[in-house]
Amino acid sequence: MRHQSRVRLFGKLKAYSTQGELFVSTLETMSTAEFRELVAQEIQKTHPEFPGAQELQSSAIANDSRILFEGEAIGDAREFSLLPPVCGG
Amino acid sequence: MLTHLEICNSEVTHIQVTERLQNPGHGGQSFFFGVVRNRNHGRVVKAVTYDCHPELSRSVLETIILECRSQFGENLDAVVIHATNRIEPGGISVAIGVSTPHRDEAFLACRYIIEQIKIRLPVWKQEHYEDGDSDWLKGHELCQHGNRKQEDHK
Repeated sequence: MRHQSRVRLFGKLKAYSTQGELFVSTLETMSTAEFRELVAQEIQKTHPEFPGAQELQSSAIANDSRILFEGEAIGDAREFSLLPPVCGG
Repeated sequence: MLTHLEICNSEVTHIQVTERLQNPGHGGQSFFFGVVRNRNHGRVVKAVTYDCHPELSRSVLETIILECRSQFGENLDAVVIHATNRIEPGGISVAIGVSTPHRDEAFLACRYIIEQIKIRLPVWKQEHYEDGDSDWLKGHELCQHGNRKQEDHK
């Protein structure tokens, strides 16, 4: 069943949203690749110049408790985070 | 056994870390302070803005400290504070303090923590340059880390 999920954006991806977040309609069986495609399409609605899902390929996806493994289903969380390559310190 | 992990909204001070490590059974203390530089790749840096996923950062830091205790001693005390928001050159962006019964473990654990922060902590840096331009720095992909963990679980 589809439901509305909040996606928090970080780092350079924040430029593609007004409040650092956007909302997409997700399915719990959706893969991480399909999730990136969905988010890319949502970004392109307001930023047509956005290149597409390949631009998100290097970004990890986290639910409200952990980073998802590449290829696993995103599950039924209502909140996700898109995490570009990190550089703490 | 002390663990103090903090994501703060402004630059860190030395005393925030040093005053917390006061274990009379520990003979070694080691500290690392990461400071914003005024130049990077030949460009003059006026400030760095740090973005952070606070909940996930705390969880990652907890895991790193657990790993430290397993490698360098269960009674290790650790303080880690990472700054967010805009910091100017000279300001401390990350501070780590470790105390252990003997010096060797303190050095090793402190080094381990900063190296893991560099590749695992969900923090991002945007440099602001003298000419008004700014740029998000390239970093380490977390999804590669996820893949490695998946392999570990097989």
